[in-house]
Amino acid sequence: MAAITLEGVSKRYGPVIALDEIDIAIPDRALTVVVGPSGCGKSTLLKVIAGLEEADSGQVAIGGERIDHLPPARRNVAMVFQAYALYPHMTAAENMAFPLRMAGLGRAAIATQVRAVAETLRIADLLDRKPAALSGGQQQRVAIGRALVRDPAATLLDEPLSNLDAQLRADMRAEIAGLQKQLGATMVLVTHDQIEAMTLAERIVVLNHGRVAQTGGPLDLYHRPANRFVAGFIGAPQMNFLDCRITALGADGIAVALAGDLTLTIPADPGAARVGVAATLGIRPEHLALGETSDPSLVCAVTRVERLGASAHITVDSAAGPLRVAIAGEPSLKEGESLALGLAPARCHLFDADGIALASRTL
Amino acid sequence: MRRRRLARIGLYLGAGAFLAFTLFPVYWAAVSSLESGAALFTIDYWPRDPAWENYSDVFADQPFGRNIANSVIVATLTVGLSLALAAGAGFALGRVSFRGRRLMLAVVLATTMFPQVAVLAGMFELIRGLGLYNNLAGLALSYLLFTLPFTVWVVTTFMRQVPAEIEAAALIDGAPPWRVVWSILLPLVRPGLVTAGLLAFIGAWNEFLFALTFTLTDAARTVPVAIALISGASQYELPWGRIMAASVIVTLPIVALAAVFQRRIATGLAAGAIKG
Repeated sequence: MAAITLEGVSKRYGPVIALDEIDIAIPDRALTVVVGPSGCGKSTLLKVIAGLEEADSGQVAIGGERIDHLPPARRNVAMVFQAYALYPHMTAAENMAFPLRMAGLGRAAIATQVRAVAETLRIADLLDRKPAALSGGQQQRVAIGRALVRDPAATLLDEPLSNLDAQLRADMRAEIAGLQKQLGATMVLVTHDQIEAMTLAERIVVLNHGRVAQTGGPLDLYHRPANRFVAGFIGAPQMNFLDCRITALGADGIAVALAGDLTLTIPADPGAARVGVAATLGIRPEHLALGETSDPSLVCAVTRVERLGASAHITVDSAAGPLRVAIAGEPSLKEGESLALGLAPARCHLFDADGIALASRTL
Repeated sequence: MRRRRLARIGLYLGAGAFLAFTLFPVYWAAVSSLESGAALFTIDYWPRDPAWENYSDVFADQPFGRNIANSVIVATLTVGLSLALAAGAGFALGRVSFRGRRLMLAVVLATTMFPQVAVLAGMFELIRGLGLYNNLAGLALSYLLFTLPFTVWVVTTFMRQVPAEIEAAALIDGAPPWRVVWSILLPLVRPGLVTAGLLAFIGAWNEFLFALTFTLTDAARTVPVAIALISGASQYELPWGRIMAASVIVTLPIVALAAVFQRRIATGLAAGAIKG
């Protein structure tokens, strides 16, 4: 087990920049999730760490030792692939034994280790089957077993859950998290699914266009997104964004005016903000309050109600623009109905014209 | 319903005609091989008085056993060399990206454009220059000319179908490149190797022109040449009975090979042995 550090790692494919000066420190014995939309460079990042792709520049180190010049076989890194990539002509046991055979272990030692890992993963009764005779979830376990059997410095998982159906995905998610804790393994998991990232990670790295958009714990990213991209990417349903204009900078925060004559004073550090410039106000659907409150409110018309049972998503039109609202329970709202929506200033995020968050004082 | 039935009848009729057309020569050879003397020139669809001595005569009058052994050696050598070279070439052309890969594949295919006679003289000089005239190794070497292009193509095509992730997984699991090819890729492209190998074997087994040109003595001849050179008591007599007996004998190994491997080829292709 060891920490992984990347410094100034860049990689381009022709004119496409996959990784742009990436600096990341992946902590030892923790589960780090790298998340981002497709094409953000997250899979390239894993390949660079594994040695399947060579970075154009920058350094990769595991446990303080530079490894970017080593071939994959000598990096002591294991990987679980999206489509599992089990060897179809070998049984589950042979698949898991392969890395140990390559390491030159003896027959007896291999058998013992494979059995131990198979028992941890509860696949001991499947060892004689070939991948074609295993279900998706079972193949996944074998693939994880093949990665963990040689006790690697780090295990990289590339979208390991996206080929499973929803129920199995939730189970495997819990299982991977449990396994990581149990073994104290260093794991890096790549996904495009922010819910997976939020539920699994101790630490999340959000990538966008080959750059690190933000790094932090799941709730850090939720409460204090560093920019508009992270604010929109983390959290479901997505954060609402409203155009606004900065009207005053005061001791109690930044005053902004929204379309529809609504003025809010948001408790944020003015920093480099200037009066008169355009900005974006962000507020999460679950932080909008239905009905009259002491907060400034918008008059809205309901355009759509989606009832999920435990909660409901409501789409409304307001003078400031369309908004999504998430509330608990089953509201007795109808389409076309008008209502008041309270915006609590303390729950609002403010982004400057470049999409950079203006530091909030309260959150 | 009726139309479907008609279509089915048509299908069976067509298949029957095709089978009759392809199998009749073999059947005729088998029948002729059991007839002797004048009986050959009457039309019988079943030999009235089977003459088995044609089969023993084949081995008595010339070193036919030796000729069969020669054919086995040459065909096996050809298949072995072809597959060994095609495995390496298929890996390079199918899984490694380098400049000029497409051009190289096209060139490999282009070598099949030349008819055998066109290269015969040049090949003869080459064989003689290497000191392989009247030598089985020389034959096997010259057969690579027509077996390698398609073995390389077939193996390359199969290699391409192996998902990149499987190769990557093997590299990460600590396998050196030769081990990736040997332990992972080759087992996965086995249906391709079997298909290509079988075709190469049949090609080498049946080859006549090179075998005739590059050998001199009976002891170095392969089966097709030996059969063509079977002669009768006088130059006016062609011993059809013995020629047919010899033909039947040398057809059997090919039929057996095809029978043994055809299920593997078929299942290999159908099951998609390569599915990740």
